[in-house]
Amino acid sequence: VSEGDLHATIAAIWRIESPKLIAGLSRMLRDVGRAEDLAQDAFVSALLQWPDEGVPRNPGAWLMTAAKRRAIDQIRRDDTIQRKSEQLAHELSSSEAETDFASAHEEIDDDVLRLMFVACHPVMSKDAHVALTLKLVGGLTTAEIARAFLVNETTVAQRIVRAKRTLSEAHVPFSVPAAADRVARLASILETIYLIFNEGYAATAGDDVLRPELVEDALRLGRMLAALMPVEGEVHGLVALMEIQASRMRSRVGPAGEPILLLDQDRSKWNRLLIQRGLTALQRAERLACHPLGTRKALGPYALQAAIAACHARASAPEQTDWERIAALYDALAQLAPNPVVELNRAVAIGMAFGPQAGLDIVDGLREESSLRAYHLLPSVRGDLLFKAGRTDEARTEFEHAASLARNSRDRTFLLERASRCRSTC
Amino acid sequence: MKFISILTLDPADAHPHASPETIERMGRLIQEMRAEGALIDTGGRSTDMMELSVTRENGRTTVTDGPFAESKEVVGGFALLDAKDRAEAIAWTKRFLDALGSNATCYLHEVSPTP
Repeated sequence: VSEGDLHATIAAIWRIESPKLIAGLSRMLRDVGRAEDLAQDAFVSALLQWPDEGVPRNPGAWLMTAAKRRAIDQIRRDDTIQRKSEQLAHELSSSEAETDFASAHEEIDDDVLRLMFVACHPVMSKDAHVALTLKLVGGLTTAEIARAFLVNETTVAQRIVRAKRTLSEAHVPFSVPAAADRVARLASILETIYLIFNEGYAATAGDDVLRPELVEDALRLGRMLAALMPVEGEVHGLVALMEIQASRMRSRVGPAGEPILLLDQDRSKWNRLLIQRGLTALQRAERLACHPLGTRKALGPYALQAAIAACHARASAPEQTDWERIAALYDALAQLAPNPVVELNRAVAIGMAFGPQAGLDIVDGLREESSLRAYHLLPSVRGDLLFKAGRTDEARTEFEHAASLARNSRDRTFLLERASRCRSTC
Repeated sequence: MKFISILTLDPADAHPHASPETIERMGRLIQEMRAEGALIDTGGRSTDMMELSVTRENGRTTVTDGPFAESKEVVGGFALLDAKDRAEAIAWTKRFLDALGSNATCYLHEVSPTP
């Protein structure tokens, strides 16, 4: 085995084992920051020892033992909290603790879940949630996070140090929040995972930078969370949404980097495995919505968006799309979280299902909406509906207006082309 | 990256019934791998094992019944893995063989997605 192979091996083991390692240490030490430092030290020991001694048979347990040994040393040296330290050191060195990693599976799962809640604790900023979640739960290195977000490694390192300090100063307990807080705190975990996903996903169509790895990391975090909180419908909803969106990664950008609209995509390029996973996750969310164990009685916003994405995924050709169902789902989404952008999407679906005039009726009601005044998609959608209604003169004006509002050159070019096509039909 | 892992067992070691501990250990690992998306599908050899080979040679297809007495190993099962890289596929496979706990070999083949 070459040295490069060994480093890849250790990196893979780290990705698989580090969340459990950090989570277990956090519970024992009641200090996530310290747990992460100790896990990191154990990783460095592995990098030094494994090339000579070989990879141990149970690498997770090896890392845990190495980290605990350092923890005991540190605690013994630390005389400011003497009595508590002795007790902790005793707990850590007891034979029961030694077998923790190999046997206490449910406990480890609970620890990983606690770690997710702590990493997304409201005392920290959203940036900190993202960095900590990727570092502590995703098993990414600081350098990998920096590369993924196109920022300096020092910036990420500082962000993580600050976040860990904030956690320790606020005495954030290492626990899953009580039922009263859980929904709001879970929302913050879901938001963090979706932010990570979108950072990777949006980049694939935006500025020629491909960052599909963040998409994979977000998918893995979402799947882990779904296994840890199987009765939370919105977790499955988010997983479903991400899997189905990710299934279109290869078909949403053309050879020159231009975005390809959903209805124009080559559907044979959609990833069937991800679609299947997404539909299964959506089914779980739907079953939970009418199950006594489920925590909500109807689909939440992530599950509704996933259900919309699923309508497209199920259609083998654009003309087979169930637009009536999509319109109804947007309606449900608009009632849950009223939002002019959702309303605009609903107008598109209504237009497809019941004809352009029905869509225009909704869009015309949005023209006074101040939050959409500078949003190029409003005139763009209106232009499309007018074009389909045969009102090409008005459509051209709308497309030209939309082009003047578009923020990137690709969108602008696309809209100006549509405007000129209106002229040729006149 | 996707990999097909073919598990083969030493015939002397290939007991038709695994112990409850082994089944529990494997079940837990399979659950963990599925949860992370590392495992797409897996299956063990069925007990009323059917073995046959379908061969195409010079335009003719022939079907031959097993079992293949001459082989030194028997197929014990398969797994379809989705891993970040080769090292991760190997790391999971090592854990799988540890959970299995008997003499066995996994043949890992990387498979490329349909173009």
